[in-house]
Amino acid sequence: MIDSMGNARSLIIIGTQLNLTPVLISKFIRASTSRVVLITAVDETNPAAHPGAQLQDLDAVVAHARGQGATNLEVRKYQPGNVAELEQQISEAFAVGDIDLAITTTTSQYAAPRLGSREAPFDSLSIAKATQTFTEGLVMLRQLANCMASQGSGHLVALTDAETLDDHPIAEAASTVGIDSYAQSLGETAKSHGVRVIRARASRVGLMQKPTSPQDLAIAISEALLKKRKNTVKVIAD
Amino acid sequence: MGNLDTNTPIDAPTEATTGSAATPTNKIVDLRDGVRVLRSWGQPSGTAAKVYKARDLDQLREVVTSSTGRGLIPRGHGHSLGDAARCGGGSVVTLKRSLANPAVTGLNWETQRATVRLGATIAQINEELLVRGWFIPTGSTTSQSTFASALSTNALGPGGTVDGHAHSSVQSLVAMTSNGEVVTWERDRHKSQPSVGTQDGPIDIDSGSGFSAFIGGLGLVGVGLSAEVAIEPVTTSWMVVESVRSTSLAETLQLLEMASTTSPYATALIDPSATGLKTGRGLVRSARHAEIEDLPDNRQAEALKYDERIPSPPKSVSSRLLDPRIAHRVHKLRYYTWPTTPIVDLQPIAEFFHLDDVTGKYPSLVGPLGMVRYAFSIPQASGPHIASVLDAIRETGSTFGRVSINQTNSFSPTMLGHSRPCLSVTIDVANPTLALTDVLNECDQELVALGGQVALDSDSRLDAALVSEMFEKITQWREFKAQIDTHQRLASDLSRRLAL
Repeated sequence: MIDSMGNARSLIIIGTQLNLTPVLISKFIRASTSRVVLITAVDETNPAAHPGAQLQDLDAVVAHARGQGATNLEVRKYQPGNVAELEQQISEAFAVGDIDLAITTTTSQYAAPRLGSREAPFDSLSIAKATQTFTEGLVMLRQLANCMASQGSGHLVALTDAETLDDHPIAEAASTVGIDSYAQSLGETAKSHGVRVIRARASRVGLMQKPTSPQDLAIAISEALLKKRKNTVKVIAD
Repeated sequence: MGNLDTNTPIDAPTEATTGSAATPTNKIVDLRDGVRVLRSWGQPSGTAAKVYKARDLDQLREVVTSSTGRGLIPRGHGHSLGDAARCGGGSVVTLKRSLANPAVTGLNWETQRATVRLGATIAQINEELLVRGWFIPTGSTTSQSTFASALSTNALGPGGTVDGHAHSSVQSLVAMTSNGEVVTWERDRHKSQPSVGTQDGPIDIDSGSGFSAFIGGLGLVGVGLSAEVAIEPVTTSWMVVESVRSTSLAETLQLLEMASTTSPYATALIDPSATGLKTGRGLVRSARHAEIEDLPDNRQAEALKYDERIPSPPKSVSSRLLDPRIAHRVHKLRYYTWPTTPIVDLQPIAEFFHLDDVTGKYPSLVGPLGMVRYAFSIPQASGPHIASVLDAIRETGSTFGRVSINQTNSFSPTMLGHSRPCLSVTIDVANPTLALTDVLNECDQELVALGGQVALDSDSRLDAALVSEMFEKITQWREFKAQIDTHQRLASDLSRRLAL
């Protein structure tokens, strides 16, 4: 579990948004972090067909993590859209040992690819991709919460972007608001099992507000982990 | 309790008195589904575990032997500052009814020994013994922890010519192993056999090793049931306390050494606001038990009454005290209220021994980020190192709480703690900053180089890799645990974190 200094001994970062991952690793990996697990969707046969991570990006993330001192690093992949494989990868990661902190990046404003424009909200491809994002996000959260509940502790950070609905196409908006609500109710249920769910939600940018950088997001999450009742992290969307 | 006025036999807790365990009217599982999130004292987050309340030996045996998966750990009243009494995803068991009450089950005036139930709190034991004119001359800094917790963590109270560690008064103890077997472990007695056999046959347990492994063993080698302890006669429940202010760490350590070799009990409170050459200045307090004539007339009628009240801050304490700048001023101001020349005053036993009871009453003093206790012991010759630790923590901008130093002059049988004469330092840090992590990690490395150890009972952050370097008898302890806990039923968050 997170120790009294707010440090995680073991960390899992899961999702397709690999540009966030190095920042999160830099922020959360410490000398005391004994294990880092990366789970991401990679379509090795037809990368262009799915909004998953690219292999070359994954290699760069792995190199970065090792450079930061992650000696015990596991990389797990699943086929985009294959939720059974996703569930299995999560279960196997927990079977190796306890995991204190999990951060999901798939459903955030950073993670979700643009699924179309306001003018074409019902494009079938957009709907298919939104459905995939939504389904994977739910499965991810549910499986992580289940595994953490069985170890009696865990912090689960879910990146959602429910507060930017006005700027999103309908298909994406529907999926993200679903993820956010699910994470909220999951947090209510899971807390009695020792699992804390923190939502990182994007909000609209004001005139004087600077968009949240990935670095600021990582700092905000680390501060939320230390505070007992802070279960929502505000993110300013760009 | 009337039978305690005569010499009564010293015995183990009674066997089951309520028939089979877990009957509908006598559930051993707490709450409807039995799962609760358990936090440590001063920690913002916790872990969920199934909570059992064992009311007799049969129930305890059932709980312990049925433990599977992530294991089980005995838990007292939740006054541990670290994660030693939590078992995320597993189970915890607390001792109730016949395993905790009455606190004192036997008293032998001739040998000056008492048998106490380990499920009872220090306050309960004190209350029952003091009224008869006896006192256990060791203790913990909180009166609300159970005696089992005090022994499992080898808790340290003020000590001088009397060793302040909880183990020092204990002659033998009765514990239940993870196989459900009740064994007696005696101090310094080796090659004895368990008092009760097991269905797997008798285990060749070295009684002295069992004692040493249990003391400070964090509840991972057995569930403590009762102990035979040495007691000393007292005529009042008050202490005569002599206090004097010091101006530097060197003077503090010098005064503490003098007090520790001449007084039964001594401790030093440090002013953490001091910097430079003044770092480590503080108040050295030495104490002895008050005689009846030391008390004013109006106190003499109830001289042996145990008073657990302690002077406390007002009910409503502003969390602004957690601001490092304000805390700094408060510490500084307090230092200047301490006497420059020795003064003597009377204090109730609880006020002198149980300083942590204040912390328990005022969660607002802990802060939303929780409290980190950095407790460690170092060889007595390494005393000046304490100043560098204080300076390093101060630079992180964290808020200091209580800082104290105790000197131990005797050898300890514990395998998971400092076994030689040492200085024990306790530094409470409220509202820890992120920078504190790296600083304390560096301090840990320096401790290893000095031959020091972090106190595991209040730790929740030590790197597992350092355990083998810090504790020279860790291999011996692990071997004993493997022998006694063959099914690996006893486990805790701490044992998982440190791979014990």
